[in-house]
This record gives sequence, C-alpha cells and structure tokens, in this order.
Amino acid sequence: MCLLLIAPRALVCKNTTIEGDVQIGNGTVVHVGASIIAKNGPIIIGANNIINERAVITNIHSTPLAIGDDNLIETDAVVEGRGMGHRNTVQVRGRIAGSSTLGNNCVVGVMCSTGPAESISDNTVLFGSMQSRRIRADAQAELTAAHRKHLEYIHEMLPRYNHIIEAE
Amino acid sequence: MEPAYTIYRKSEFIETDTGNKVSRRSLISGSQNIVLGGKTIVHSNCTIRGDLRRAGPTHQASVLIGRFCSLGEASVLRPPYKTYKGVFSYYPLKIGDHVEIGRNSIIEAASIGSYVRIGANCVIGRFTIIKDCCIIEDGTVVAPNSVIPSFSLLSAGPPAKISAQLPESIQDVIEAQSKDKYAKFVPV
Repeated sequence: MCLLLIAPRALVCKNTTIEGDVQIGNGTVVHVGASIIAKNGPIIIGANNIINERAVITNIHSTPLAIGDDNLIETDAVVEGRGMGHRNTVQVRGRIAGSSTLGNNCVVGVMCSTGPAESISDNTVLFGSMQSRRIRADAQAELTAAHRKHLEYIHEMLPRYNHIIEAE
Repeated sequence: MEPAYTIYRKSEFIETDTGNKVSRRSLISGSQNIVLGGKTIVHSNCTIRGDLRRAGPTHQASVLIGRFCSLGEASVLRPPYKTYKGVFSYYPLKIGDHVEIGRNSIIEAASIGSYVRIGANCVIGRFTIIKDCCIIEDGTVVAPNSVIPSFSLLSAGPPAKISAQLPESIQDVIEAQSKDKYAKFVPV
C-alpha cells in the first residue's frame, strides 16, 4: 500500500526518493535528491515547507510523522523523530534523532542533534559543538517574510530547470 | 609522497573538450548555468545546483569553477541566497583554480579563491569568502558570512578557528598536487 498524495500547488522534483505513505501539503517544495521514506507509519508534511537536496525524512515509528507549516529543512538534514511544529529551521546536517519532537519556531544548528527522545519546546535554538541551547530573541516576522519570498522565488525558478512530479 | 593512480571506469565519466571529467552519477541541475574551467573532476554523487540563479533577466552563471579542481564524492555545491533591498535572490558561487573539495562537504560560499583545499565532511556557510591558499581540515564548520584570509589553516568548530599560518610555498605545493592528481586520474 503505497499512497502518495501531493497537493496541487506543491513542487516535488522527479529526482527524489519517496517511499511509502506520504502526504505533501500545498506550496511545499521538495528539491532534487531529497528522500522521504515512510517505513512504517505515514509521513504528513504541511504547507509551505522547503526541503532541500539530500535531506532525509524517515518515519521509523508506526505513528504518523507530522511536519507543520513554513519549515525549512536544509541540505543533508535528517528528520526521524515523531514530528515538528511550524516555522522551524533544521540547518545543514542537523538531526532530529530517535523519537524526538520539535515545537514551533525552533532552530537546529549546523551539525547539531537532538537527544534520542527529547521534546524541544518552542523558540529553542540548538547550536555549537557543545550542543548548547538557548531561547531565541530575534524577530520571527522578518524570517517569515524571508521564507515567503524564498518560496515565491523557488516556485518561479524550480520548474524551469527541473522535472516536477505532476499532482493528480 | 607520491599519490597513487586513481582508476575509473570509462563509461562512468563524461570527458569534455577542455578536459573536464564529470561523473554520470553526479546530480547536476541547471547545467546551462554552470561553468567548469577545464581539467576539473566532478566525482560521483556530487550535487551542483546551477538552477538556483540570480533573479531577473541576467545571463550570469550561477556556479563558476576554475581549472584543475576536484569535487569529491557526495559533495554539494549550492549558491547562497539572501534578501537584499527587499528582493530575494540567489547569488553566484565562484571557485578559483586548483581547489580540492573533499568527500561529503557542503559548500554555500560566495567565493573561494585559488589553491584552496577543503577536507571531507566540511560545511562552508552561506556567503563565506575564502581567499587564496587556505587549507580547511576535515569536519570543519565555517560560519556564514565569514571572511577567511589567505594562507590560513582552519580547523575544529563549529565555529571554525584559524589554527595556523601556512607558508608561502603552499601555493606551489597545492598546484603541483592538483595537476598530479588530474594526470593520475586515468580510465581503465
């Protein structure tokens, strides 16, 4: 039972690996070379996310892995927890390991990782080589505006150079 | 120390007129926006994002790579992006001559000079400028928007620190090694 549901305004490149029960929401962009693998339970991706090349989203649990809206998952990031909220950024090689969950407005820094079963609360930033944590104090509104412009740009440019999976 | 010959299957690599060797197993999008200077080797599973180019009607290439470069296995070259004066755009990624990029490294720099060696598993942040004759050790994370001066040896991190100054002779050493490496990359 393979069920791939792509919303009409989502952009999913043809060179991606998608296996199992996956739902992709409106406006979400999946770049070339990303992999979304639902091994047991389904993966439900919300609206307006950006998933960069070589990012890996796997669901190893039997419960659904839900990803909220406006998230940015950068190159080589690994998401295998139980899910995340809205407006998060998982930076290059960031990792949401085991059965962790991410709240809203979180940032997982470059090469940072959550613990095997942590639930990260809202506005937390994981950074540095010592796996330090802090609460973010910057303006979210600015970043949300930048994210919206980024999406707009990708929606215009990506279909010009890549093959897109057509939504039914 | 003489590096050994690297042997590859002829069917795996495409060789261009200028001597570039590009693996068929690499993932290259927007190839019309990518400039390879000649005698550059692109290894397997390397990702180059030429499709992420400057917004608006420009004829600028998005990824420019010089001569005698080597892009390691599973490395990612991705132009950096920012919003400037309210306009979102990706900006070109420029790489000089004799640059070696190690396995599994992710490059989002604005420019990398000539005679630079980047190790394996490195992350070079957005809009970083690396000047000529630098060596970046394996697993180094260079923070976004940083400027790395010439002749520096970078290690540790994140964030990376300049741990030593390199001698002036490093330019000749890296040039000789990159030429040697290209000459010894031969088909079966």
